[in-house]
Amino acid sequence: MSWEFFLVTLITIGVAFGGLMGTIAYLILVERRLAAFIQDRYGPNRVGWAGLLQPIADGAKFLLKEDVIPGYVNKTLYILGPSIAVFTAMAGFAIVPFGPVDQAPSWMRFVIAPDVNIGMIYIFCVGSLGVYGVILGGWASNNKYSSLGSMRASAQVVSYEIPLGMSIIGVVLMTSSLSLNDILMHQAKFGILGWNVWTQPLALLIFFVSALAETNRLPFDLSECEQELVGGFHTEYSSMKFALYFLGEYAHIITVCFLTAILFFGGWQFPLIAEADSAYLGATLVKVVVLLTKVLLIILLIMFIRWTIPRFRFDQLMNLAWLGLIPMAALNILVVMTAKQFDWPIWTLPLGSLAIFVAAGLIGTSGKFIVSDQTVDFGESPEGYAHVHS
Amino acid sequence: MDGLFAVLIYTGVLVGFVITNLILTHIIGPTKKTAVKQMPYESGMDPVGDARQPFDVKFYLVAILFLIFDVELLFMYPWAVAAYKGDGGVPAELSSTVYGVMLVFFGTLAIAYIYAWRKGVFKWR
Amino acid sequence: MSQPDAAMISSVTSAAGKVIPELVLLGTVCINFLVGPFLVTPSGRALPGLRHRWGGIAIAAICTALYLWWTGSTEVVTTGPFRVDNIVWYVRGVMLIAALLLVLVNWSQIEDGKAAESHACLLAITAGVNLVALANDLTTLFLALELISIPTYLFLFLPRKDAATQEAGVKYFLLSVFSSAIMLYGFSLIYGMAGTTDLPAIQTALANSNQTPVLAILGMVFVVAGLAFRLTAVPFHFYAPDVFQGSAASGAALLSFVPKLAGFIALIRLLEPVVDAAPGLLLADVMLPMLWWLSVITMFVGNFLGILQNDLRRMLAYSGVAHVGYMLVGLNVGHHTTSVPDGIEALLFYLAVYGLMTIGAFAVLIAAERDNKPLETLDQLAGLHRVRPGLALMLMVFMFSLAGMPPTAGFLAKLNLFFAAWAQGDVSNRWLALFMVINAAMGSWYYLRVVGAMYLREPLDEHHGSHAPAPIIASVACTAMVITLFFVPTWLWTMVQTVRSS
Repeated sequence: MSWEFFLVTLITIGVAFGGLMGTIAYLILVERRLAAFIQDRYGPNRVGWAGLLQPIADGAKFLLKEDVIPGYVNKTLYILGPSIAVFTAMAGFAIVPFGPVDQAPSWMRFVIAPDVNIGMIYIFCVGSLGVYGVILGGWASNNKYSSLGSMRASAQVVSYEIPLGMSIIGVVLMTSSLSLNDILMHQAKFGILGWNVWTQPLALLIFFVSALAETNRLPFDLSECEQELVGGFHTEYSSMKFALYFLGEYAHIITVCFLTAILFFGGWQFPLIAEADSAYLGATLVKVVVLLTKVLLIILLIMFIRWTIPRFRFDQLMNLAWLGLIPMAALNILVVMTAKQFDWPIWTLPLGSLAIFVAAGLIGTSGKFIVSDQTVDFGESPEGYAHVHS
Repeated sequence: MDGLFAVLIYTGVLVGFVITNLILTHIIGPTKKTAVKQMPYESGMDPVGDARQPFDVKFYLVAILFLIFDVELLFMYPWAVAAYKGDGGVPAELSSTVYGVMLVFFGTLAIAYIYAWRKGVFKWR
Repeated sequence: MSQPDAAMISSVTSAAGKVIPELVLLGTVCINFLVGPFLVTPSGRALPGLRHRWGGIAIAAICTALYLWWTGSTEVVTTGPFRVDNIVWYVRGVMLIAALLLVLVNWSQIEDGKAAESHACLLAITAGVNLVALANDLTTLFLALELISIPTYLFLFLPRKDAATQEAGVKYFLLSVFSSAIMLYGFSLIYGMAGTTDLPAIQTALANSNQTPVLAILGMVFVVAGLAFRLTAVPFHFYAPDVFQGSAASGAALLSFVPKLAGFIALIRLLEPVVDAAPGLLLADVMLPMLWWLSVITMFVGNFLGILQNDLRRMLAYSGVAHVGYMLVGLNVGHHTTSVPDGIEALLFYLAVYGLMTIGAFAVLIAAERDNKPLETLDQLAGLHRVRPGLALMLMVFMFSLAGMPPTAGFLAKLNLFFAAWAQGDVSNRWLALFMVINAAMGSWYYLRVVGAMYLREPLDEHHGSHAPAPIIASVACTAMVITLFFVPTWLWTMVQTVRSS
């Protein structure tokens, strides 16, 4: 391990970490302004020009507020909860390339950990540890809302972990690699038509929906739905510990958006200005900008979804995962492997995706084939929620 | 190995960040304990009983299902990487065998899935 | 990574062709699990008589497997994930016939709504035992052993839903998982030593080195301990009586034979280099005394505690423990003798005969059941010869056979083991033979107590028990075979002897 490597790593970490923190701070502002725009009100616009200093004020407030540790909590786990949440969410970013890795300047890489060939598995490993943060926090709080919220969160995260992982397998089959950079380069080679979104639209849908559920975003934020559970698992948290949960959530969102952009939308590749072989002056910068733009657009999409689609009911949430996404993801793998095995032309893949999607839609909506058996009895007794922990 | 070493450094940075934050806010923020502040928050009502009650068995069921499917998933990753890699992956002679094996794998998975569905395992009640 | 050569590739692609009987069984398992739940309502009710159809399907599957086994090729294959030799051929035959008997035993023990699953578990267990014999790789071996244990938990749990059954099921589940973990730990140590999971390669590595690493020996000890759980060898027997007592009689019948068969085959496969070793091999110096003590303690403890039992199934559990002690004698003696019979052959012969007599005994107990409640104490058998003379006669045959008295096959089986141990010539093995005789004498006490209760006491009430045909067919078949084997043992003995030639 050379000193150079150590230094470059430190600089990269500094850039990535600082960027992540700044982005998160301003994302919260963007989200609040966007929410206000959609709900036809102003939102925070007092601190600085158009509220641009709001994040700094927020940060200062978090630091200066009282750090309450209630009397009935399990202190160790109570502190450990938010720490794990933010740690796992941030750690996942370690292998995400945020620029063209092969054109990186000598003093900095565009990925914190280069050449980790288990890329995707690392992300899922670290990401699924995140549920500990939620469940430890909820349990340690010794509050009924928190317990319920954390139970729900764990069931939800655990259920959506599977379609999330399964949807990737199609992409991995196409690329024969788990490394994010390999997957990116594989798409960039073929230009815009090489993007996985054309061949794997269903996988993208499943991945995106599961990722929303994994990050506990609306319409899947059952673990912290205000009307039922006050704050969910973080009801008892205040000041910096609360902020850490928030940081974790947003870091998770950013990682997921990077993944979506890299796995399905060609990463930094864009026709004409950022091709795999473009090496003009400033090409590196353009590529970084392209990638970040894609990521930003996806983040904005997530925010729009938050204010557009109402929250799911819990049984709908579980049914969507177990009866909808998982079979669809499995069928998608089947289609991809069959196409690879028999060298089917590339256009059969989106056709297969479409067929699965239509079939799933028909089965799900027409008749009572699946729905009746699984949900009707619940719909008739919504008080079932009241007994969740009885 | 370089990559994993970088992950280690990054981990160190993250742990440092979290600990610094927790300590900073503890030192800077005021501390004023009152009886009400120390109580679990239940929308203003005095809490009844302990929150740590036994919870519903269906959560265990979800956990078991997750374990089953997650193990199947983990099995698929190495296959997905190796199956069509060409050089260094599954040799061409074995390609169709591996394909058949995976079909059987998905078939048994489907049988187990249908069985569980019919037995009402996925029913959230 | 080096590219695999053509032989390796063909061994993989042709692997499925070597396990066709097992594929038939597992295919039926799939059908059962796929179709079964659609024939019952979500609350678990089914058409009355559904269990007869599932039983019929199970029997058809086993008969197909038997046919395929009988007509299949006997070509010896020692490379690839499966190995085919004469032990495999023998184990397949024994297990398939035992499975046939177990299906009959299980027939009336199971509700209509659960028959599909129960029979599917039985078939999966059968396939698992065969795969244990076929396994040529630590991974395959472990998977096969799990293919036995996991359906067994279900099989124990399905028949009844009272507290005792559930307790028995959970007890067996926890201990079996524990033993699997121990065994897996042993496997990992052996793998770490040999650097391969291929059994022949491991055996060469073990047999050739005089400085076996301590860790490998430790691994072997762990494996034997894990398998001893399945065998119910002392000191790993403690769960057996409780589980036997709590579970339904069909579950007890299964437990009394199938895990022991699988365990012994796995031990034979793993310990071949040890029991055949030239003196001086470090591994053998450790393992053989261990097996010796295991055998002696198992015999004595099984019989001592068996004498104290009043509950029929507890007694049979301890009887099973004692018989495991006898069979371990065969493993101790091993192949290395020029005289007839040799240890492994005697062990294999004993396994088959033991299966017949213990499954038969449980079949009789099921046939004599009252109001679908299993027989519990010895008193409930009192005067059975007045009420059901046929059943009493058959149970007497099984008890004589378990005790090792002529004219039953149990006598010949014990005689074989005794001669094998005696003729081998080592002092330690002669001691084993002597201990076996002492124990056989001790064991006959509690077997004869059953016979005495049936024939010398008056019936407590006029209750005729059930007249379901399936268990009676099973017990008649077992009786016939146990007696025939005494008079014409050669047909089984020739089969056993082919094992040595491989």
